Amino acid sequence: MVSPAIVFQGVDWAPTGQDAVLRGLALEVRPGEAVAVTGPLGSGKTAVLRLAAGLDHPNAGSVRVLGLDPTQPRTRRALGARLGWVPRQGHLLSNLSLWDNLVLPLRWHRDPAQAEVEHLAQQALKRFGIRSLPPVLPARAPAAMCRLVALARAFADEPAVVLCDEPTAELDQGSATELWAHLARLAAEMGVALLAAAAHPPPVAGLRVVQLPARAAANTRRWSLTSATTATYDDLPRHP
Amino acid sequence: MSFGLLGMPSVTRMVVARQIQFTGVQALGLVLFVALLTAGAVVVQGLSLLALVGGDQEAGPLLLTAVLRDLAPLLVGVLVATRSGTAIAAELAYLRATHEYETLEVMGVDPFEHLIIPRVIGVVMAVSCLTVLFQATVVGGSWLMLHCLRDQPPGLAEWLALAGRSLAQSPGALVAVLALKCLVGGVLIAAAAIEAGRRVEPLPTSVPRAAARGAVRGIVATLVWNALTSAGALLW
Repeated sequence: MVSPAIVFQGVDWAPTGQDAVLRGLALEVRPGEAVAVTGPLGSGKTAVLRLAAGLDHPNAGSVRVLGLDPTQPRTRRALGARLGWVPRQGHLLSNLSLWDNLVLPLRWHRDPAQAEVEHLAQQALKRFGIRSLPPVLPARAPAAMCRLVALARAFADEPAVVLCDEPTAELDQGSATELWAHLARLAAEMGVALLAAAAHPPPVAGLRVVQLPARAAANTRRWSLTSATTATYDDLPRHP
Repeated sequence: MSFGLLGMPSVTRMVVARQIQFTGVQALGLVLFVALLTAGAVVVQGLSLLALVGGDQEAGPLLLTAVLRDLAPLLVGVLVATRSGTAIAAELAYLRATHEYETLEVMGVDPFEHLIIPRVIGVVMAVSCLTVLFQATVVGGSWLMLHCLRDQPPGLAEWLALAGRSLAQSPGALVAVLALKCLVGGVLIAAAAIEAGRRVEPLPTSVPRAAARGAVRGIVATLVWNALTSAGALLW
């Protein structure tokens, strides 16, 4: 059996000075597998991705990506060359055009000839149904296009692992379901271990959904407060 | 990856080019305007104030020397720190606030090589080129003003010879001091801005604070470095 590309073993994680969000998380994602972690607000969906990307350190347990500790600065470049990353915020660099965002990792890790960059980038765009990119900065482009460019970039350089946070955030429900199915298919075809976070992943073929438990006491209270605040709208006195 | 201007990835070379364009080319108008004002001050001061103490013949070249040696790198440094230091600090703080800095790190694109080094190179090259242009504009501008204000103005060749004579007393030392002021001064301006932009909480409210801090630190670094270099040159 193929060894997993992403392994979480007994991972605990808590934001600084706050209650634990993840407790004893065990998760494996194998090459060619697409996994969506889901759960209620504050259950740690994004935290799982940030831990896999090496942006946060686990308080206990271990995270391994392609057998390496992603939090180690020395392994970061080696991992970065094989990792596609689509965060919820900051997925594209605001000071580079859409095209330059797309080709940045290609040029950085391989620095190939211009023709090869063009070819790989066009191939990446084609995977996500983008015919051409307007020569604009991300701020001037529709949010959904920016998200698709970020996804295309993540799959452009033959990655072993792709991490996406809410990959369908800017899409309507029908398009979102289609994109999830496409992502699962791409992961299987390219042998990529895809780990995504989503509030409502649709049931699509090839997508394994991992449910995170609700966060402990503190967050539940916060959620209740939000609910209570919303509920008061109905209780407002109305004019006859 | 080995580092060098030619060994950089093409995207990073593009960032260097953009930095030079912003810090150098786009600042050209402002720098030349300040240089012309400075040239005006040189002539007016030379003709009026120093004439009072009977030194009007040597006043122009004397002031010109002071401007070319000390004031040019100092004013260019202050202008670049104010303009580009603010921009660099704000941009880096913004990249942190929007988590774009993290995105680079996760993609294995070293922010030091992609963001920091190009900005240092851009600022150093811009400060050096702008200083030379500033000096040339002061020499030319002051000669033009003399033509407007004096009945018997010196010829251009004579004026250049006067400026050159006072500068050429120790040309090696002069070039060394100017190079130190421009190169190290540029590095200090860029470093002050970069540190101000990088060492912030990743919050939108950090951006204006980082911008202000980057500019102020850059200006202070420029003033201190120019003072130290001038003092060192005097003692040497």
